[in-house]
Amino acid sequence: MQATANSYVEKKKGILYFLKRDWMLYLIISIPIIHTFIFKYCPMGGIVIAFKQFNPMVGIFKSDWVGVKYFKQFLSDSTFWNVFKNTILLSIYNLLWSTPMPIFFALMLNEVRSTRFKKTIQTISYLPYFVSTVVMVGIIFQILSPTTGIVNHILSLFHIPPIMFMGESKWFRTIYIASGIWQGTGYSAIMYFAALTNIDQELYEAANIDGAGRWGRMIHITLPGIMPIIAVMFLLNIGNVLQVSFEKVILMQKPITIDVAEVINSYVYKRGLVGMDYSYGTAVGLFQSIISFVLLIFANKISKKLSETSLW
Amino acid sequence: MKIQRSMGEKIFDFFNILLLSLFGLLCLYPIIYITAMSFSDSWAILEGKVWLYPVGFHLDAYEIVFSDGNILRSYLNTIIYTTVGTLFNLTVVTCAAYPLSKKRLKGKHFFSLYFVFTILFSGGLVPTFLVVQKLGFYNTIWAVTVPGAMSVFYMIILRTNFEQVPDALEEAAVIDGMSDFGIMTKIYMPLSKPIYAALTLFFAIGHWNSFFNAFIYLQDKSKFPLQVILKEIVIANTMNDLGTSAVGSSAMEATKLLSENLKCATIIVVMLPIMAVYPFVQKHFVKGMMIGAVKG
Amino acid sequence: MSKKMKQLVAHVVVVVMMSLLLGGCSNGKETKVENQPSSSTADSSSKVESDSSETKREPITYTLMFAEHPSQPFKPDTWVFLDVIKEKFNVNFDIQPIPSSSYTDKVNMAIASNSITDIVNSVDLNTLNDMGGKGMFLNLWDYIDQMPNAKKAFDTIDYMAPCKLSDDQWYAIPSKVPHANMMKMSIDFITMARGDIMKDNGLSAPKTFDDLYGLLKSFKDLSPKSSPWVTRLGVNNMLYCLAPGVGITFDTDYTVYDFNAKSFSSALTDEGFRYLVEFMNKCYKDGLLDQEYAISDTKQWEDKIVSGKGFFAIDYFARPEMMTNAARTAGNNEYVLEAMLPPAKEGGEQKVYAKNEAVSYQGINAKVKSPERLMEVYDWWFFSEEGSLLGFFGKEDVSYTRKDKVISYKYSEDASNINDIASKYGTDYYGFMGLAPGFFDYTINYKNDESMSDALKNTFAVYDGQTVENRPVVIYSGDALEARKNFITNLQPYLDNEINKFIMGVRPLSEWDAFIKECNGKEFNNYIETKNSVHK
Repeated sequence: MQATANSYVEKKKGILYFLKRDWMLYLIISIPIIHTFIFKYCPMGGIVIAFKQFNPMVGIFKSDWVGVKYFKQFLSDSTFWNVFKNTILLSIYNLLWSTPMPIFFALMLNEVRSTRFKKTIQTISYLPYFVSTVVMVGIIFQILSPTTGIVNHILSLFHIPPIMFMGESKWFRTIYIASGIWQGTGYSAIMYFAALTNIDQELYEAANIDGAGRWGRMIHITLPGIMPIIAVMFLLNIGNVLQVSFEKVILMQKPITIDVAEVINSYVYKRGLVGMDYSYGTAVGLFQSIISFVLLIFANKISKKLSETSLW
Repeated sequence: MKIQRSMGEKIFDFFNILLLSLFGLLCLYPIIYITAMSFSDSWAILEGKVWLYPVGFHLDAYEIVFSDGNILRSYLNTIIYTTVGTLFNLTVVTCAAYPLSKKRLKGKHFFSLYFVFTILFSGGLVPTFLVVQKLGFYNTIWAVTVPGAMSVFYMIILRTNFEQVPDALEEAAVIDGMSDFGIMTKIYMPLSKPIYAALTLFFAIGHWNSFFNAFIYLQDKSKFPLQVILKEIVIANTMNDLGTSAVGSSAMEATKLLSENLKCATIIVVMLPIMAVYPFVQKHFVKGMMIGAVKG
Repeated sequence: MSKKMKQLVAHVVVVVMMSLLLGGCSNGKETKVENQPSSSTADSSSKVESDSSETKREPITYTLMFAEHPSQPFKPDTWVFLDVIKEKFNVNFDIQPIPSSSYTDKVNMAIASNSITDIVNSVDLNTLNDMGGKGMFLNLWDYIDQMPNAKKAFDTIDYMAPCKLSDDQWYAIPSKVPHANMMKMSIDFITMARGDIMKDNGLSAPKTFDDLYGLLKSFKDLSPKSSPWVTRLGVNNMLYCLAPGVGITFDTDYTVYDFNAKSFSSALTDEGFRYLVEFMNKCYKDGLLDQEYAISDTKQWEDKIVSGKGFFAIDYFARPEMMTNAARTAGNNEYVLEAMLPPAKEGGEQKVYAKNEAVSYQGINAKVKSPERLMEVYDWWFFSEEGSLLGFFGKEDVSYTRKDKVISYKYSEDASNINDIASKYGTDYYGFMGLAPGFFDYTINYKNDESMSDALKNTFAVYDGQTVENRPVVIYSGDALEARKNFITNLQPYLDNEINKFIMGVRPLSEWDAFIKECNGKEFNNYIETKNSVHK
């Protein structure tokens, strides 16, 4: 009763009324709002230094405007384009390899009858997700070490000379992607498990009556059932195609593999922050943010059409 | 309705179970391998004899790791950062989630958009760094705990959870004269205990594992958390951080220990707490993800 | 009830955290304000100075960030300069050790965000000049009248001139400056091999590159599973150590100086350079050069060289002794890692590369409090004979003894060799030692020093007077500095990388000329031109 009466009145009241009525709610939410303003929106304002010649002694506002100088500079820089290419390639290969894995895993696990086995494997499968990036890269270095690593010991059984996995550019992407699969498959599969349990059981029963085999059921019921979530996940990943994990890259790269291992994020860090080329770094960062933004909006549009679910 | 399994199905089941088991082993193996290495004798490691269990078992590597000042101090740092950081996370996320779960809040959509937009677009590394530095957070605990206090993803999970609390409870409390803050802390938060348990664990693990902020914002070695020290030891290979002089450690290696032992032992020591809480985490994990999946 | 208690506790914690957070902010601001009025404190401190004859001066503390190298970890209890300076000037240093592996990153970040400590160690000279000109670093020239020793250094030592940006601008305090008499200070990398094994098998020190190849081959025959040539240095360091042998001298930027034409040119186009790459390629192909040479780190290298998995190396001056000691401590009493001159081919000579400028520079924060007092310390510490001795050798009768101008190290139980002395007393450390004109007259008594190991004596003896001629130092600023930065972040890694590819055979040597063209496409030529124009 009260609620409906209120909502009737609400339409006529001004902002002050709500501020007064819910002042405490506004006060509470002001904490995250201020926090987000400082740590997310202020940096967005800081983007202006991409158009200035940033001088740390005088600060952002007093630095001289230089227009699009830094954009011109990096767009005509072959190093930047190499980094850009590396980022795209690493992301796309990663996408192609690591998208199907959790789907296979979820489908296979779904076919298992024993709940105990199912639970055990599932529990083990997302353990790697909780291993920190530093630990994981440390483990990679150990396993792939040319002198003491297990992989090279196994290779030597077949009389294959030791391979310097971490020191050869051609292995970088493989290792990056394989370790990503190791770490992420179990975790990503959770989404698909959720989708699988939501599939109407009656559909399966109907299929049984129609005499469909297991394979048939998988193709005709299970897969279409999780298709929307597959699409959403895939699109979300496309939106993030330029966002290669800074941590993992910076930890995995060695000077000698830099020609494939340098990606936009690590380049911005090295050139912008460490190289003290602030304006240049910000310009490259802005370029990346804008592309990512457009891709995400685009991905969301398609996703909405495909599955009627928005990413946000 | 029991259906006779055909031969084909049996073969399928067999390979299915086999492959899944292999996958499970693959997930665990690297951790087992590192553990085995950390306890093994140097000659066994060099000869490639270690692959599953320790060969020439000894605890020397752990003795060095646990008597190293840098590692112990960074352990303490990590515990402090994790505790403080998690508290900030919970506070900020709650303060965003609760008001947003109220339908009557004017401007709710604007606020939602305000938060969600930050996922889509960011100022980038350099401007963020400048903001943190300008606040005087550079090289302080605040740099690793405050900037990441807000998490839109977990905020949505928590908000969804709050939305499921029946409105009647709030109405009753209002009649009792409770304020919004009181309702949030005395009614909603206690009712959401399970989700808070899950969030606490996630945030804590996140802080324990986090490397990026400390790597960027901390410069004083005495303030480094574990992950940064681990990076120095395992990846940048400054083994002498382990309290042994270059000469001394070389001497040691010629006998029983190899730098590999120490690296593996350090990895295990850093990972141990995570492995210890894992059984609790994984219980909440799927549930938490599901709630996120509904909306996220 | 207990629930309420818990909530109460939770509230309190949240409130406390928030107030702490705010406190953190305001603290940061306060300290900044405190630092700012440097001109006003100048007056007051000069007053203090005039009083100093009567009463002991106020203690003062300066913050200092420095690169902590793993081989010489910071030991506040035993490092001597801290106490000496405190006693003499009542000045304390609040030292922030930063791992050397990430030091440059941290310094640059501190500079770029205008949050440097009072003293910043090991800064790139060009950065110092650049930021000094913008007002971040103290212009030391303003205090030159109070610094008699420094003034004398400017008049008498060649190395000082490049430290100044212009006639009245001086931001960079050079530390660890090379000098012929102090060869340990000027030589970077030397060649070394397992002397004991050579002796047992009748092998002699290589004079030519063919000899070296033969030596490596013999090592390989003795231990077929090993790769005799092991390293932890980048390809660039190895190349410039070997370069005098083919008649050229260059360092990190691959440019050769022509003393007649007084200009720089590319080292890559030199026949000698190609010879070196071919030589290394041959060694790599034949398994004589460690297959993982390009990614090996210090620890792995030490493992190999001590445990007989490697026999030849290019490394720092101190390493022959260091590794010999290490191996002997581990029980291999015969072990000798012996320093030897790099090989030479026709047209080259068996000389060794020597640095031509200070190893590192330090800058002082322009906002530092009482700069006079700090300058007084520096004038003594970095520019007086006494101070230089403190930096390089430590405290007399504690870590060294001297007779006239001949220094002998003073060994003890826990510091039985030159490296342990440096480690224990914090001496001979990049950032903590300066140069006094008179200091270069000192010599280390290596011939008659009974405690000095044979390995070290040998290193001194072999390299005595074998350094190459000094090349001029080039100072960059403005656009040239941009070009230099670009070279360091982009071009240099590219060059190293491609050269590695040639050595490992990933790229065939037939593509060498194409590579040189590529370099020019990457603006290597422009860089050299810039360097030449700055030089002139």
